[in-house]
Formats: sequence, C-alpha cells, structure tokens
Amino acid sequence: MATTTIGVKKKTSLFAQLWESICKGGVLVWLSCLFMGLGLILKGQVIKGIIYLLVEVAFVLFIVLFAGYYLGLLGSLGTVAEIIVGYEEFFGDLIPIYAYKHNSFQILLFNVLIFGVIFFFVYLWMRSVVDCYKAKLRADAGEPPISFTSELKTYLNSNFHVTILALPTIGVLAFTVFPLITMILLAFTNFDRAHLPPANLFTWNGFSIFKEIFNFGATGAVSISATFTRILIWTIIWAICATFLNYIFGMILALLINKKGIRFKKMWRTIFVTTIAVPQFVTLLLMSKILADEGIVNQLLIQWGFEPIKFFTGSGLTAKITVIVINLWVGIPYTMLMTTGILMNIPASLYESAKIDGASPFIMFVKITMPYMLFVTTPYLITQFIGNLNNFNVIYLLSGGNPLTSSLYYAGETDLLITWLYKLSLNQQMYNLASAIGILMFVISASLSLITYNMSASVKREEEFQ
Amino acid sequence: MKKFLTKVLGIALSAITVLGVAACDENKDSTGGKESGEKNPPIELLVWGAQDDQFMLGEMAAAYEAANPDKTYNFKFGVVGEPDVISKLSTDIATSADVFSFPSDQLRDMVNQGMLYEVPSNLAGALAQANTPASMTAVSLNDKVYGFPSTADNTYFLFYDDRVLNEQDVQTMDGILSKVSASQRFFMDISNGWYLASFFLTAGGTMEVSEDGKQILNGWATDDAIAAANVANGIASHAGFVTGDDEVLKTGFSDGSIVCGVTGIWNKDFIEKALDGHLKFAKLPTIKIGEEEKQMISFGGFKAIGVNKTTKNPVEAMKFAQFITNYENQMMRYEVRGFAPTNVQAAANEKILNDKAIAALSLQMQYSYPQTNVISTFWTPAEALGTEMEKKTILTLEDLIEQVELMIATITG
Repeated sequence: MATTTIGVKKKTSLFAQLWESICKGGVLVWLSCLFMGLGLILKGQVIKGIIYLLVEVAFVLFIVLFAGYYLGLLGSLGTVAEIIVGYEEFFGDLIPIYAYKHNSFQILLFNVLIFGVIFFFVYLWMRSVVDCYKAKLRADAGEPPISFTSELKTYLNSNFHVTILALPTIGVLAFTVFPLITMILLAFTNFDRAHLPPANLFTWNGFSIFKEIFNFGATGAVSISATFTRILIWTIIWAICATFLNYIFGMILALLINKKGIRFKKMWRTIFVTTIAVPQFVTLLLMSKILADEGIVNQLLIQWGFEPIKFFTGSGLTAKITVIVINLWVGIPYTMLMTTGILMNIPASLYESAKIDGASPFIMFVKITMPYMLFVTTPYLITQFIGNLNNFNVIYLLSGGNPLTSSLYYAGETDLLITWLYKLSLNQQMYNLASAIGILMFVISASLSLITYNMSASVKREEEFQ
Repeated sequence: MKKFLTKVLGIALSAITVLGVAACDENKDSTGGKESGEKNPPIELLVWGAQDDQFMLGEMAAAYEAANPDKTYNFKFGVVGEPDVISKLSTDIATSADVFSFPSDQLRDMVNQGMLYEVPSNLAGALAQANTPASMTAVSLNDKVYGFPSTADNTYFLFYDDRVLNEQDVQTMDGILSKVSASQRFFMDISNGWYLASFFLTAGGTMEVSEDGKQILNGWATDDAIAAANVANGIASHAGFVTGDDEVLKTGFSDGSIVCGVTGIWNKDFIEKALDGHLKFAKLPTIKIGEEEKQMISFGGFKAIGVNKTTKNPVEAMKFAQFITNYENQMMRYEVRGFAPTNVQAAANEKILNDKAIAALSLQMQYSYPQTNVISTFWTPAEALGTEMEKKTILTLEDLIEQVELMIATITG
C-alpha cells in the first residue's frame, strides 16, 4: 500500500504522474527534465540524484560513441560492405588485406538493442522527473528527504518483486524478446539468397514478401501463394486429426481399462505407459526406418508375397495417413494417462442415478463423461491443437516432409508450415519469406487459441462445475 | 531472519536461471602451438578441417613449421567439416579460420558471399601447372582462382559384383538391366538431384548461373533430355531396381540383394569387405538416347583449401594452403584417408595407378561435369522429380514432360 502521504498518488500511471509533475513542478522540475536528478540533489536526495545524472551522462556517451553510428545506418541497413585495410607483398605484387565494414544483419540487431536501451532510458527519465517533483513536494511541506539507504531497503521489502525479477527479465529480453523482434523485422527486408552477408547487404523491402504470399492470382509453374495455401490446409487437417483422434482414442482406451470386470488394470496401464519411457524422437526415427522403402515392414510384405508400400515416397495421401497413424501411436498413451485420472474423478453417484433412470452406456458417455471431460480438458485441447499446428518433431523426424512433389515450392506433401519454414531458411536461405510465414503462423495460432479459449465452457462457466 | 533467507535464496535462484542461459558458450577445439621466445610475434593461423582430418592436419602443420625454420607459427585447429564451412563463415567471418577445407560445389556461393580470397595470378599459374585441369576448373569462377585443389573424391561410378556381371555387361545400362532381377538388384539413388542430373547432363544439358544469381538450365527439356529422363523413368520402374540411401546400398551388397550400384569412393571399404574380393569398379555405363549410346556424365566434385578473405595474414595463409596441397601432402591424404589426388605428379604415382577404385574414379572424372554452376535451388525440385519417377506407377511420357517442365520452372524461377 502507498505509504506516501504527500505527493502523487501511487496508483496513477507514470505518464499521468509525469504530466502532473511537469504542470505543477515549476522551474526546478523543468530544469530537472534537462539535467536528470538536479532537483533531487538540491532537495537533499544527493546520491539518487547523482546516479540519475550519471545515467544521463552514460546515455549521451552511448548515443554519441556507439549508437549514433548504427542509428544512422538504420534507414539503409548499410551501404559499404567490403573495404581494403592494408596491403602485403607477395611474389613482388601487392595483395590487399580485406575487411567488412557494414553487415546488414548486425546493424539490424544492434538497432533493436539500441532501441531497447533508449526505451529504458526514457522510462528512467520519466521516473527521475516524477521523483524530483515528489522531493520538491516533501521539501515544500517541510518533511526530511528520503535517505538513500531507506530507499535501497524498499528493494528488499515493498519493491522486492523488482529485485527478484530484474535478472530473469534481462535474460528474457536479451535471449528471447530482442532476437524475436529482429527476426520479425527480417520479414520486411529482402534478406534472401541473393543478399547474403558478409559481401552483400540487404535493405528494407516493405510488405512485398507478404504480397507474394497472398498473390493468389499468381501465374507460372509453382507459386509461393499456392504452396502456402496447400500447406496451410494440410497443417490444419493434421492438427485436427492429431489432436482429436489422439484425444478420443486415448479416452476410449482409458475407459476400456477402467471398465469394471477388466482384470490386471495396472498391467495394461503399465504396458501403455512404457511407450512414454522411450523418448519420442527415438520412436519417430525408428518408425521412419521401419517404414522406409527398404525397411523391415516392406521386407516382410515382399516375403509374404505382397506388393511393398511406399509409405513416405509414394502418394501424398499414403504419407499423410501414415504420419497421422504413427502420431496416434506416440500420443495415445499420454492422453490415456491424463484422462484416467479425470475419469476416476467423475462421481460414481452420477452414473448410478443415470442407471436407475435407465440410461444406456452410450447415453451415459454422451451426457456425463464427455461434458465432464471437455470441461476439464478444453484448455489442454487448445494447447495440444496449437502444439500440433507447430509439430516440427513428428513431421521432420518421421517423413521429413516427404514425398517431395514438383507442384509445391520447395516442400513435400507432408510438410507443415513449420517444417516448410525450416527448409526455406536452412536450405534455401530465404530468410525474409521464412520470417513472414512465421509471423502468419503466429497470427493464426494466436487468434485460433484466443477465440476457442474464450468460447470454451471452462472459461464461461468457471464457477459452475465444482 | 527466515524471511531474509528466503529472499536471498530467491535472488540467487533468479541469478542462476539467467546465468544458466548465458552459459552457452561456444567450444573451440584448439591445440596450442609453439610458444615462441623470439622477438618476432608468431604468425597466427586458425585452420579448419573435418574431424577425421585433424591428426593429418597437425602433421602437415608440423612439417610446414620444420620447412620454415626462420619464422614462428602459432597454429590453431578447429573441427569444421567441409559441408558446414559456409554456414560457419557466414555467422562471423572475422573470427573464422584463416585456412579451411571446402567442397568445390560451394565455391560460387562462397565467392558471392565474399568468403574466399582470390589466389593471385602468379600463384594461380603455379597451381594450374601442378593440378589436373578439371580440378582447376572446379576452383575457378569467371577466370579467377579461389582455392587450392586438394582431392578429387566427389563423384560417383559403378561398383559391381563380378560373379553376376562381367566387364561387357557394365558398358551399357541395358546390359546391366538385362542381368539384374528382383533378387539381384541394381542400385541408384535417382531421387537425389546429384545422381538424377546425370541423365540430363548426358543428353547435353548444361547449367549456368545468371547475372542476378538464378540457375539457368540449358537443354534440359529438349527431345534428347526427355528421352534421357525417360531412361531414368524406365530404370526406376524396372523390377531389378532399388533406390535409397547409403544404408540400403551397404545392406544390399552385404546380403547379396544388390549386385551393382552407383556410388562413390566413401563406400568402397565397406563394400569391398562385404563382397570379399568380388568387387569390381567401372566408369558409369552408357545410356541409349534415341538410337545413340551415350556415355553417362556425372557431377564431379573436388575438395579444395580456401583462404578466408578477411584473414590478417593472406600471404602466410596462402603459402600454407599451397603447402598442404602439394605432392607430398596429397600423397599423405591418399595414404591416410584414401582420397584421390588432384596433383598431376601424385596421380601418376604407382601406388595410385594400381588402385582400381581410384582408377575408375579418375576415368569417370574425365566424363564429369563441374558442380560449380549448381546453386542451392537445384536440389529439392530435382529430388522431387526423382521421387515422382520412383513412385510405383511408371510416368507416361506426357506426365514426364510436364514434371520436367515444372522442375525447370521451380529451379530457374
């Protein structure tokens, strides 16, 4: 709770506080806007004031000595790549020593970091102005200034959250947020195969790559837009099948094992759970070997006099069915394990009263089990669905996106958007296209999950089902 | 007190979380060079090579130091295999190796990305004297030389079992196909652009790269090219044909289900053991295009030593690169790793002349097409065409033409 009796109310936003400070602060606060911490020094909070002043000096030095250079290059992302820094003699000739001056990617990355620093500085500046105003109010009211040590102590008490979250926040910013922003910005550049550093520079390119993705009227052999649409449709079909088939079969399995009269329940459960003990990627790689053209399954088929099946190199449909079925093998035990717990939680009295009323097992499943399950597991289903939209492992390790087909742009029949993105960036160096697809994938999964989550019973009737 | 402890613990935990993330530092394999007590600062050279080449590179560096006693060197070595060099260099060229081994098929990309130091003309002249013309073509772009050829290992030729096929059979593709059957098969990875391209190249197709960096395929849709593609199509649907990766090939030769295969020198040792003295080598067969039998052309690849364009010591780096690709060191490569030399003198060495596999490889190299003009857009669409061919039902000629045209459009688009 705000303990300050004098000054600005703590609850109002920093912007409102700043506005109030500037409006009512007078000359001292206005000067403090230029020289951070000046008001604090004059009103007795010397150490804090000096720290603010040092921050300002450091920021100005940072801009002048380092950031200014990169900020100046932000518009063009670099103009000169190769430079000659000296010469050496070789068999009577002079041969140059080269170096690279501008690297577009580096310029982009540094600018993102610099903007991070600038935003942080602006925040500190706002704080400093408000602090000056508060110090002035205290002085006007005749109260003693807040000592630096007592202020430091708040970081172990009322402001403890700042202390404990500072390091993780910096970590998340440095290793997740800044790289993410840089990668998003790549979608608006022409960073592709023809513009690879260090010898080549890339530059801003606006929305042209998005136009290419949405250019559905594109003529010519294989267009990016047609490939995008086809892969998107398959990605959604895959996510639906992978999520709901796993869910339904897992639940049926759990119901079967839970059924009265089934003996050795624990043994059955253990058998299915052992598949979880094998790491998923091992199962997937093994399966892809087993189902290969010359794999064990086809060898057996040939021995028994059947035609071999080309699981991942034949028709697209076969490959698609194969990956969905194998994903069932990988996923059902998880669902079974999870649903077992929930199924055991359904009050037996519900079933007993339904039985007395003469309900059939099917009716009981539809009216009691399913609603209960759906209520509890909708958030799980949503995360599963989004996870499956981006299920890189299963596709990449199992089929590798194969079978390839000439009618898709650097993609195979079973490629999801995420594996296509991987191929585009890693094999084809089309970083801008890959980044644009990544953004679109985020938009799709974010909107899908927000809509379904808000529509789900778990959110709407949160209080009801206890 | 307890409250205080909880807080300290909280701070420590959050610090650990961040440090844990920050701790992913890159490991650099390096062995320290000689410490010098002399006044001249030692010449620092960072050398990258494949894992299996590390010991050999160390020996070569030691020999180089012994040959140049007036200078002190500080050699450092890093494990970076040839295929990974380009991605490592593009990450940060300034801290990358001064001297590295790279595959010649990446030459164009590396030159375009400004990674390779151009070999000065007088030194290039000496290289052209010492090495085979094919290898010099492979390290040249627009009449400039960008690398020091080290081995001629990257092409494919024919491996066969002399109990099933004889020297006459392996002259033509039809001869091979007439001897193989569902239980004794012929192997070729047609769904791999590297092998599939053979058919188009044999039909007279050529590859170029345009000014703006796009692949140009000339003569890939002519009647001859379609006829050659149809040969591949026919092979793919032959009962005695099998495709797959190296594992399939090795297993097949081991259990006798494969008797003839198109592959490279890297599989020699394994198959030689599996066939126990019955393995023979030959150049690729001829294929029938129209009425004419034409010698199949393969992609020819070389490994070369490159010098980093931003090296601080270009002179020393190039001298070292020249040294490790000279006659003695190419012989050492052959003896340690079994790699065929590009050095003319080494190629004429008796040991190498008596090596049957190297002989077949060298013969095929004469019918090889340099991979310098292939860019990365080529592989996936070519693999897609091969996959279409390998599907169970044989492609009709109309479908085949359509597929070839689609492939060309994607590659050149």
